Amino acid sequence: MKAKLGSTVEVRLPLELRQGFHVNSNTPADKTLIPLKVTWKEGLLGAVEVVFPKPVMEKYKFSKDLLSVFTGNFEVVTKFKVAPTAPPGPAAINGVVRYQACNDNGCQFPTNLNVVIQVMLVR
Amino acid sequence: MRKLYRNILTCSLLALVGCSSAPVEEPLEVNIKPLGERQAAPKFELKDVNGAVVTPAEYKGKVLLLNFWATWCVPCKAEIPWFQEFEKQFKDQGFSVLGVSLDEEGWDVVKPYIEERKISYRMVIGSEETSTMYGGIDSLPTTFIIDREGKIAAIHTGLVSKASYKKEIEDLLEGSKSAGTNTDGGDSQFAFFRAPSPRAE
Repeated sequence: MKAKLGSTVEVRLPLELRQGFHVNSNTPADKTLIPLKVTWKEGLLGAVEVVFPKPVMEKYKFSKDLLSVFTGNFEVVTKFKVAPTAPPGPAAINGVVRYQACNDNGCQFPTNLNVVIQVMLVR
Repeated sequence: MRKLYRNILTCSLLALVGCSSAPVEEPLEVNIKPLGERQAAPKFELKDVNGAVVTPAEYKGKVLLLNFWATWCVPCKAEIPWFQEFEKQFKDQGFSVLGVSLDEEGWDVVKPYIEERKISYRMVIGSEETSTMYGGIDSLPTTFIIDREGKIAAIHTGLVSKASYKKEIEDLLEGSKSAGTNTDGGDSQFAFFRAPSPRAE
């Protein structure tokens, strides 16, 4: 991935969840639920916006209410601003995807998935 | 508290979920182990909301439903009213419920949760050590039913029906030595959630 100094670049992070499982969306209705979060460490590229897909509202047998979730394959898009003063050359963006997944019967513990994006900064 | 799991998952990009195959509406799934196969419930010392130390030994002579749960676990939430009802119904016959929360934030989140939902049974905050002692709890809810001798008579990973729990409790209270043949976890499903290489546009 190449990124020009001073520009804004869009990075699509494809996420894949095994069939039968769901994760809470970034906006679960219940405050006790753990939302999907994507966070990026500050560096030569700074995240200016993280955009999640539209959640789906699904009914599970363990809940009376519809739950706001993501299932299957989806993408989270992040816009990064490249520092105009950054030195040209290779750089890395480090991020964390925090999620909490369940299926129809049980839930796994909240998990942090580390993500590293390699970028070549060019003038 | 969950560092061990996180590290494993981070390295392999795998998120594992063990779960039973019995949904809420399905028929009875009674999994009481024969007496000879039951092992003593591991000992722990955890504090309840009032700061009193709780140990499994306190419950010797009673049937104890030991439920590992967390506030963020929606299936766990479904079981709470059942457990309250069971404790009320079978208390006089020597039955108790003990909830072990595995919330990382501890009482800060658990106390308001139990107050809001008026959860009447006793609750403690578990640790990774507690989880390890009980075989490494890797998904919730996980429930142990402990007999009057302090031995584990049944284990359920994931949500099972209210009727199944009730039958197991009744059998143990009556001293039934029935041996179920089904076991939870043998047909565990595994989930993985991975982030393939991102692409720029």
